[in-house]
Amino acid sequence: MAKWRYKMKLNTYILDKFEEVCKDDSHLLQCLKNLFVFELREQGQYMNYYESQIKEHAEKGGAE
Amino acid sequence: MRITRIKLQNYRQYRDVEVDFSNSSKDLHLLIGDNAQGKSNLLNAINWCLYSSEPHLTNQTRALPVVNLDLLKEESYNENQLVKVEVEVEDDDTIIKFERQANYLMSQIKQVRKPAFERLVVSKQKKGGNWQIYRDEDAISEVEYYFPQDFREIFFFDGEHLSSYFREVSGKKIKNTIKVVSQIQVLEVIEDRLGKVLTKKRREATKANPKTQLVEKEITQYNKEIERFRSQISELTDTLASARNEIKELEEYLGSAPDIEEINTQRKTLLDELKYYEKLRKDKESEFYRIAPGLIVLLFLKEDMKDFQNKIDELQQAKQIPPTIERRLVEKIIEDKKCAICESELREKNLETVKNLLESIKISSDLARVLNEQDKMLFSNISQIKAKRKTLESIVKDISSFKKMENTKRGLFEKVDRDFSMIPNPGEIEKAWNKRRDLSAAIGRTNRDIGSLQAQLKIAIENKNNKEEELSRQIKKLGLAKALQNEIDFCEKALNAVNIAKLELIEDTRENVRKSTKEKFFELNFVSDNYTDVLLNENYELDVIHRYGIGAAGGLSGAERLLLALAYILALHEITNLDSPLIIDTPIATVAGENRLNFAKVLAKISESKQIVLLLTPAEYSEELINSFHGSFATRRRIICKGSTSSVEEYR
Repeated sequence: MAKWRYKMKLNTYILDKFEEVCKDDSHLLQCLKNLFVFELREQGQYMNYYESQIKEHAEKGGAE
Repeated sequence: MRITRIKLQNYRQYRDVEVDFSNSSKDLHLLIGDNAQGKSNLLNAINWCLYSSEPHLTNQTRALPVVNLDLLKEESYNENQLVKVEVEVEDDDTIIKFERQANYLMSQIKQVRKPAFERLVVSKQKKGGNWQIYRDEDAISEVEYYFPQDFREIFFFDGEHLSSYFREVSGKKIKNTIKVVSQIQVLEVIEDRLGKVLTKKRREATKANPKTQLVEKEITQYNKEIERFRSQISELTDTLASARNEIKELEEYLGSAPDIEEINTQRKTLLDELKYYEKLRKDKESEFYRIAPGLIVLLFLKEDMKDFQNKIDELQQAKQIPPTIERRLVEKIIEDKKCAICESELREKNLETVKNLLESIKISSDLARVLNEQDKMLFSNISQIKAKRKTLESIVKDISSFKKMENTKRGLFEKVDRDFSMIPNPGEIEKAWNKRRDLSAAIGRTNRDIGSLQAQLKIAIENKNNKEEELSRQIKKLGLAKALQNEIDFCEKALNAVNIAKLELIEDTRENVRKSTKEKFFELNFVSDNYTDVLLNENYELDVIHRYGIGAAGGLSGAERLLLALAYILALHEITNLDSPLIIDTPIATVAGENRLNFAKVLAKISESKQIVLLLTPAEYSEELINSFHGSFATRRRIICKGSTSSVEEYR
């Protein structure tokens, strides 16, 4: 993914949009936020992280 | 981020020049220079330094190497000449120096126009820290980080190359860059990765179930199909965009030049018509010459014939012409020896009388017959004169009418021929027209192909969605462990949410750019009463709506186009939060009066939060413009070219 020096300034845009889309589902929102931050840090080995996030938030969401 | 210094060495007409952009409350810098003094080359120098390309060149300069060619005139020039452009940038607490160098072997410059070597080096220093040096790919990556090439038309605005802002290719570039800038690309990555996790989870859930595995395989198949259709559509859309751009370029080149093929067809048709009427006329003329001599003879003899006819009439009336007895009847009586009336046998004596009668009437009867025949012939000849005269009159009329048509067609043909001879470079024009025709046909074909692919894509997506639902139902029926079922459900939900967020962001960003462009266009454009709205389609192509409700981008005046493009650039800076500088070359050459003052006001306001460098011609740098800036510019310099070397001096 191309680097872009302006990205941090625009993150709030996306996070606001996530809040809008996730409405009252706090676990869904948290999961998406975590994935977004993960991608911004451009970390590799995504599969484990993604799976752990899905597992964690599905569990918490399901328990509610 | 702002440019603090530009240094040029042996770059085109700049031998050794340094331009400092010191800051003040308003970061507005003016560089004033006549045409061909080196204004655009300053912009080219920055582009060359960053990207090794110069988009703001005339065709004539395009072929020349970037090295200062005056060096060749000097008696003892160095064999190796170094061209160097350095752009120094300040970004918060970091100083970044972009430096491109190219080395030219001057003895071979006429044969080898490329440099012996060229390199880009980027140096960075954080306040109080050490300099970090980046070379090769890392240096390019640093350029992309601060000044992405796809976005360069948004940093470096060229008032003289406005059309590029209205082209589909630029629109697509801008769209893609906005995707990166507004992080939509990150969402696409999340979407893709979530999809992979979901597939993995589903596989885990269905590994022992052949029925669900089959559905899953079908989904994978549809995904491949969808991918293939999308990539084909994207490829064809690019082809379409570049064909449309080529047509726009050809139209700009052709201007009002006529279509040579059309002219040739017109010439051929006119020539065929001319030949057709010529043939008709010639046929009629031959007919005339065939008929006329006979008539002339008849006319010549007409009086004598009439006299003769009158004479016969007179003789007839005076009963001086003997009766014509039918000789054959008398001869038959002699032959049959019977009366032709009562059929009684003739006696020898009577027969002798009849024989004598035959002898006596022979001369008078022949004479009477001759006279009768002559009378008829005279009548016929005199009638013929009338008829032939009528025919000839009609032929003459036809000849005259055909001649008239011939003259009209010849006149038209000569006019077309004259017009044709006035066209400069008809060969080139014809080629351009042919290319335009080919491109139009290709666009038609490509559009049809895209339409068909889109229909197939729609079906594939519907099928895939149906299969997804089917798979989801089947998985639920499998009675999985609750945890796995929860994860699959959650993953589906997350994927859906990211997809919605992405689509909404794309739309929101476009709508924000549109709104801001509209606002700025109306702010800049004094006569904006003519327009009621600004549109930005999904390919980021601009249009304005005239107050009568029709799209009017094609009909905008030069000044309006410039103000619209400028408004668009300013909107993109605002919506994408670009804090990069904005360098504008020849911004208001076509703008006058109130709009020019609006431009100054808007730019002065923007320069409070953004660095703006204006490259102006003396004609643009008018008294009214200076007054509108209220002296708020940070620097004001003049570009002067002496001989063939340019320098930048303080404006006095």
